[in-house]
Amino acid sequence: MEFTNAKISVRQFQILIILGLTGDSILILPTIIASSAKQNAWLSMLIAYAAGLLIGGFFAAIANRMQGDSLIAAARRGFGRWLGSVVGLLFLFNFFMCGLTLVSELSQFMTTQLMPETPVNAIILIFLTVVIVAYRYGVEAFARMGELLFPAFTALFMVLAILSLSQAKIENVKPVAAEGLWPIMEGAIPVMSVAFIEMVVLLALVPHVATNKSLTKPILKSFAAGGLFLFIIVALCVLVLGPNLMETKYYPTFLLAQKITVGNFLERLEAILAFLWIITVFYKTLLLFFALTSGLAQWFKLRDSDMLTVPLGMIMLVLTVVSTPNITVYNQIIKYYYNWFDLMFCFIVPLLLLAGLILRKKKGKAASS
Amino acid sequence: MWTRVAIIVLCLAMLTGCWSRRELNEILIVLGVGLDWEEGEYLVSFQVVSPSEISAQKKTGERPPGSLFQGRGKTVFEAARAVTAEAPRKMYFGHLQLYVVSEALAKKGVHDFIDNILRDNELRMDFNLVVARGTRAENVLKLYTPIEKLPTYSMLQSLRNSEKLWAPTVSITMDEVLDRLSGDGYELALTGIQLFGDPKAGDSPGNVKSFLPSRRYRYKGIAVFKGDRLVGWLNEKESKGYTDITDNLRSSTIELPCGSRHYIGIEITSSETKMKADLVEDTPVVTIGLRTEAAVVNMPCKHIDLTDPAAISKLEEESALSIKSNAIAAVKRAKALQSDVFGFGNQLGKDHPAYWKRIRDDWNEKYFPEAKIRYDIKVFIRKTGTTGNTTLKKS
Amino acid sequence: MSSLIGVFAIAAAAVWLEVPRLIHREHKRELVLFFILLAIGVALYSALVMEASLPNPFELVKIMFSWVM
Repeated sequence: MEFTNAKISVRQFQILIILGLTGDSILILPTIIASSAKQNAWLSMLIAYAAGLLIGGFFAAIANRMQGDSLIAAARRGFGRWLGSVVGLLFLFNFFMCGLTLVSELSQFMTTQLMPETPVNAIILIFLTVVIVAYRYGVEAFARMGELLFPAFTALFMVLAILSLSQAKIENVKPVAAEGLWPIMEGAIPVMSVAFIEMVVLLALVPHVATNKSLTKPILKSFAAGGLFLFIIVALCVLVLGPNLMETKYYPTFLLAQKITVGNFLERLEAILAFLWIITVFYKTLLLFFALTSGLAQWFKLRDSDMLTVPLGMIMLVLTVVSTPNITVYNQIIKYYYNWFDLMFCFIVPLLLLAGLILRKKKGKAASS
Repeated sequence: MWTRVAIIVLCLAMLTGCWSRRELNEILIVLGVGLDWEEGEYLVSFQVVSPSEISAQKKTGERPPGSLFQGRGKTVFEAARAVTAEAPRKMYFGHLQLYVVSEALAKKGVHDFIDNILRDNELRMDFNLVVARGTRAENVLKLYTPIEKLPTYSMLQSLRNSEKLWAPTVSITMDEVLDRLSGDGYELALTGIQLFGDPKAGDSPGNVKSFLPSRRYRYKGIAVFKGDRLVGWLNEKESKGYTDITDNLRSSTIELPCGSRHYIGIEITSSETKMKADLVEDTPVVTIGLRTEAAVVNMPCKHIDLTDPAAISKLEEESALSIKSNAIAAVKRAKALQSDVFGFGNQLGKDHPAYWKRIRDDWNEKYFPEAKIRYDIKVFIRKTGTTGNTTLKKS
Repeated sequence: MSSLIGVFAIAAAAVWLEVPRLIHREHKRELVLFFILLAIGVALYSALVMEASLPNPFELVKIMFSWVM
């Protein structure tokens, strides 16, 4: 697979971002926000949404300066060979760890709600196999598949939203902001990091987008759309489930789907809606795997990246199983430590990259004038 | 070419089954669970459906429509697994409709087994909970019921219909139970189910062979909980007041005496309750606003003229007084039991969160009994049935 | 034991899939990297299957950011 020859359209790029944004956030976020903000979770989501748009602008700024280079090449251009390679390595480390969290999320969801007796290794193995195969077909292929799946995703999402709306109780949002602003802010931080900041992975897709124009508007539009999906879900969870249930149950969106009952015949739809979540988690994992593998190949200046897939898949599987011995350990890390990891690697490091690219450009201009 | 064939065959091999498959003939569909407490253990009764007996084609007519399996254990989960020593298949709880808790167990506290229900991934949150009153939970599940083949379905429908049409019952689902048990200011209340008639006749088909079954169930009374323990019962009048205040009232009846031997029947066709909590001089005052639409369904008294608007107004006032007396009785009983089942505290928390934060720990014992309740009840009688005044002669 | 054979089976399948193409195109660098990563993967997976205790990568995250908490 050659690198910057595969081209995806801007629309496909946007769809991939939206699918990646909803990713695993749609599954685990409501619980995390509710534990801090309780009935004000929707306010936390609004704040994070606004911040998310700013972050989108930030990523767009980097994307516009990459000038067709892959992420690693841009890092090397911005910082020179040695420092640039270090920066590139930091990005790769980040993609790897993010990928671990995503595969962990999916395996836990499957074994908790849908298939409890299945050993977790089997689920991870099959999931990663599909990811590897999707990668080997190339970015054009999975971008097109995303375009195909997106209407189905939106339709199922609308079904979930509209059918749950009848059970919404506006009373559940009261009292509004009774405990002050701090719990709301505390709830907004995980959303910002898990949903929006982790989308730094879109920088790996940028060299493949077939356009010469600025990418700011497309990226902002897709951040807006993805954020809207998340906001609708969080708001519905608060309105229909109420803060107690939202905080207690691990996968509130699943509970939301369980509650749908229309005229006593349209019931028990949650297994169909699980399709929704599996699509989004799959796409986010695929994006991360894509960024990791192609980035690794570029780091070593290889001509081909397909052969790295199976070994990387094996390493990911093993480390996923090792890193989640039980759900409590995993939740503790996600709740307290992982936000800082995201902030550092998905925000500070790209910030350095942006600074490097701007300075390098200025140097280039000064040298040529 | 051969690689393709190999891959296809491998994929086909994976279709033969997965780990978590459960075929229909390997599961026992549990419709009702009954919980008793016996000698320091849970006695759990599972009412499972016998699919061939309720199907339209294959029934032999000789076997009951379901079976009862019982297990013992220190947790409900252990009891469910212990049952496999007697039952031919594993229990499947996805279709659970009714959960019956014995009164003795409710008095001990429901928190322990509710936690198990919460964690389970098979149990959905949409089944109803009731308290078995004056009988063991297993007896409730052993009952043959007329009309409906499946007793739990009969009881479930009865609970939901009576909540809509008769009033002194509430159908509480599991997620509401969780909500009530999780916070302060809104205590749990469950409906009680009682069995009447000949105790020996209930669990045999002979029960439904006669026109009037020898053993019948009836929902009677609402159980008041404090925390997770049952502390008392509301009688019929108080239960009606309870459903009025908590906006569960959809349709019901009011009987107004006219003269010494006759009663006017008023049917409530729809009702809406709004609760507001205010702070007057630092004491909580709860205003309950009730808007009820009604119709006259029974008018045995000749001296009241239904074509006269003044008479209708008078009937409206009397109905409002009747509803108010129900509500007052309910509140009085709840205050005596020191348990806020109406959600006044919850409403206070929504309207005045800072004040609620201060008093929430003492709400049930100290502040709730002192709280002032104001009633703003308006009844609008819109219809009088298909006639005005009847021409029936009265002696 | 059978799981260990499974691990080596997967590794062998990977080799059979990739190596002929790489040798044919004489991509030496790629071949070396492939075998290094595969060795790491097989080592880790075997360790997992034989229930040796492997370090948790999230511990690294914890150590890196424990000064914040």
